[in-house]
Amino acid sequence: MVNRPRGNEEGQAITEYVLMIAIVVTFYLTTVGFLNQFGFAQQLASPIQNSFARAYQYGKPDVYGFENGGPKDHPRITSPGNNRLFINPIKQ
Amino acid sequence: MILRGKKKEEGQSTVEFALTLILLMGFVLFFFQLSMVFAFGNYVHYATFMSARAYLSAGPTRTDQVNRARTVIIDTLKVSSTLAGQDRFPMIARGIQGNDPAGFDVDMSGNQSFPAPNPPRNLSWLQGVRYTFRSRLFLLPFGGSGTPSSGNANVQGSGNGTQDVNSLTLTSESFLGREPADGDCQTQLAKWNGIYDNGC
Repeated sequence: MVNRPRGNEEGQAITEYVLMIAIVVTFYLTTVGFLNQFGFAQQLASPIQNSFARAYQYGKPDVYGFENGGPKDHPRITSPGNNRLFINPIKQ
Repeated sequence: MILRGKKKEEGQSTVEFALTLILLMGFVLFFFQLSMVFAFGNYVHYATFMSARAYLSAGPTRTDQVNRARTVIIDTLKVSSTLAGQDRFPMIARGIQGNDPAGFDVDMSGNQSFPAPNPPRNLSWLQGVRYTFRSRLFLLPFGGSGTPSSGNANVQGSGNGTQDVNSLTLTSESFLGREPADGDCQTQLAKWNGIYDNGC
């Protein structure tokens, strides 16, 4: 029993490796599926894609332009509800 | 029996490490990519500002002013003047919209009032340069793709009303205005049928 031929054990490690990889991949896909289902990536990226994008473009996170339902607090528009100065803005 | 048990436990930490490494690398690469996008965004702000300065300065014609603004954008954000269609840092961001080169746009409307005035105005101080670029947020296939964004991230973005949650579209604007070109002056004086002051 102790002196069992080594040839019978060849491939055991790679078989276990393949099985373990299958488990890891399945776990990964399941996890990513759950995260996508609950919109984890959207929630993670939402502040960047919305507030930061507007702050980057207009200098203020709650500014809306013509292309997204505005203008509101737009820096280049001179009309009620918009302003050219962000210093001590008045809430309207 | 004891030895057999220990042998079966070998590799457990490796497997757990592999499992956690997926999420860990997803977060690390996400923040790494985000920092690169922020840094590139600052650089684009500088590029559009310099481009707007070139557009602001008077020249023979308005076309000359636009060409100078375009040259600045190409020199800063594209590979070279001969490879103006290729982004300098494509792994970080690519110019979208606009044309010649991609992402670049000169807003010459000069009419940003709301509601729109009648008759429409064309104010030279409301003109400037805009550059729009898109970056990838998740380096790992972590966030899925093709999911429409609920926000305004598709502002001047893909143009089809939807945006991959895996990408970030940013627009840098610099509106410094435009000095009248010599051609504008000549045209204006020609309308007056005479020479005023010292002409152009």
